[in-house]
Amino acid sequence: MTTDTADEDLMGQYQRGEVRAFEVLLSRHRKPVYNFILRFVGDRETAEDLLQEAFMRVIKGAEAYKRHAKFTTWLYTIARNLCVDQTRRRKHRKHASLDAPLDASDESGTLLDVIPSNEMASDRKSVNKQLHQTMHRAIEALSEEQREVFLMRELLDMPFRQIADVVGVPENTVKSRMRYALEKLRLELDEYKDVAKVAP
Amino acid sequence: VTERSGARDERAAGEAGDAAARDDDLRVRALRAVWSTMRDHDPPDSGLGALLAAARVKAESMQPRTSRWRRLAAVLRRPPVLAFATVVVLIGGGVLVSQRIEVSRSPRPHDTGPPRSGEPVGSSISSEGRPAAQPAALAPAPARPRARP
Repeated sequence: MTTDTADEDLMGQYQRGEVRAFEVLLSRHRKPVYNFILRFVGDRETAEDLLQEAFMRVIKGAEAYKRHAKFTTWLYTIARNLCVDQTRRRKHRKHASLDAPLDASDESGTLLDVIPSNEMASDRKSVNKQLHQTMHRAIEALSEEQREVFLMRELLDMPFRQIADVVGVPENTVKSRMRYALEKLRLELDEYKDVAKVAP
Repeated sequence: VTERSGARDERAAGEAGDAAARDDDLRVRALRAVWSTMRDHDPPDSGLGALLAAARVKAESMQPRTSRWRRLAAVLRRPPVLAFATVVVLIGGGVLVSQRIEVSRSPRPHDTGPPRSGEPVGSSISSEGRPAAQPAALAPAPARPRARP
């Protein structure tokens, strides 16, 4: 068993009882799955719980895994379903988020803006921080369908075909959702476009 | 008509998607530049132990079950067991062969007749290594006094 062994082969080995194969899979995918979930749900604690749950489901369903399916497709389908369930549940009992506007109006600002910051907004670091916060907010503002496609494409570098398999829609629909997501993000980040062009 | 319009919509969406796939637009590149500067977070190690424990339990339950004979055969096929078995067979064979040779050299119980010509009398050795007791028929007769003519 080497670091080059394909995920599907490792899963096959795990199905034959080799726990070491699962450890390799875990070390390979834990971080990207965590970042995908974190950017999907936008909350660290929830992301940790969902990450744990996703891999628990992989363990429980290991026997059912068929080798012809791509392992990452299977893994991200599990992670994505958990995220979708979570966001639907959250819609029913909405908390005050640090990033959420205080009022319904767009001009009201967010809790993050109210919290005093010692850093000067003029320096580059601070601008970058603002840019990142705006990016986070913009991603959170995307619809669920657009967000998942954007994250899989940009964060995980997944091909459109695979995203279509994970989400369960035609490939063209995925491409269309990606286009709308990019349009929205462009609009959200329009005021930073000059900064973004020279971002490191 | 609905099907055709649906297909047209899908084609249009596909074309739009192709444009998105190319996305060589400067603003999208700028967006990507921001995105790439956002660092990835490391997941905490808190749940790792529980995951590995669960994985171990599951791995044990997934291990293929083999019959007792197959397990025995697998054990016997291991190099140290094979080497030991080879040594035992060699030693046992050696002992058996040496015993056979000794048995074939020792006199048989029915072999009581006079010795054949050329064969020395009393040369047979008992299994204990001592000269075998000569049978009475072969023992030299006691010397008698010669009768005078």
